[in-house]
Amino acid sequence: MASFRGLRRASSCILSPVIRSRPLTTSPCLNGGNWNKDWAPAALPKNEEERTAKAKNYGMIPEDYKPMANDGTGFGDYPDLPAIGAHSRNPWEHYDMPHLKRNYGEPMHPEFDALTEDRLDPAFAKQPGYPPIWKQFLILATVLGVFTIICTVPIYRFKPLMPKQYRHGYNTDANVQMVHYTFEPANSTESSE
Amino acid sequence: MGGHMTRAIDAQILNPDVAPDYRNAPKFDPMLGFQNGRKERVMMVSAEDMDVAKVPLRHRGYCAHLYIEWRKCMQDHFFMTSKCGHSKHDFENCEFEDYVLRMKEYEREKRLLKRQKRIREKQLREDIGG
Repeated sequence: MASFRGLRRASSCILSPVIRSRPLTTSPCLNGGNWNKDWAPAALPKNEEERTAKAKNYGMIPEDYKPMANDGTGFGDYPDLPAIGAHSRNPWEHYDMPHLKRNYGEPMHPEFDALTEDRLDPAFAKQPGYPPIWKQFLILATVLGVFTIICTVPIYRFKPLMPKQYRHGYNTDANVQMVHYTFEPANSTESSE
Repeated sequence: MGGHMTRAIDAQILNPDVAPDYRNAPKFDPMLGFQNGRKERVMMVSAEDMDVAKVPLRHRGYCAHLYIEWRKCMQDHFFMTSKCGHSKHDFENCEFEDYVLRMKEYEREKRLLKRQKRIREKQLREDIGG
């Protein structure tokens, strides 16, 4: 298959004005690689020398570099970085990229796009003073409990009113002549209603 | 909501025996406790007039004459209905007075029910004692 690579690259370049989008693995314009084996995870370091080289590759000191567990997730030699969201980082530092709170060349967490300031921050919930999970559950249970009581206790809410008074009943039957009274004495001279 | 909840709990859970039946007319004699009697409410329009004026059923109470006056004004001054503010205010004032009267009737019913219960309990105590 490798013999067709030049042909493929040429066809991609010719058709690039026509084909606007194509899979990343077939893009010849990226230097990262254009074949499956180029994207395969790298092997874990075996000795101290390789370890130092890998750490340098990821911009870390060898003491900090610790590769991810080889459990089949395919991260290879990528460093196991703590998931600290941008919210937990120092807000007063002068970053190279202030909107990401990130400096140039800094190692990136694999889920970096989810750890920006407006999204997740797993480190925030672990700091002291943050309500523990059982307390959060207690608050939720209280709210739901009150809601359940209000919704399930069979009481009917009403206004403190007697029904509206109609002289001829509710359907205006002229033969019906009901008598209603005000709260004024009958012999008073004051006019009412 | 406070008044609603408190009233509902009081009437349906705590003291259902002295809760007035707010769906039906008062049970007690309307003259009970009025030494000088009570003034009758006056209906200003007849049933036929209300039919002719096409008054909705819910407005055929004791404020129907003001309702008719207001609607007539609205027809006469169409496109200048702001001129009918006074007749509308008269009608709404009348409805407000009617509302207050209904509240008074409810309160009277509630107190009379409590009085009835008090008298019955006293009678029962005397019967047991005697």
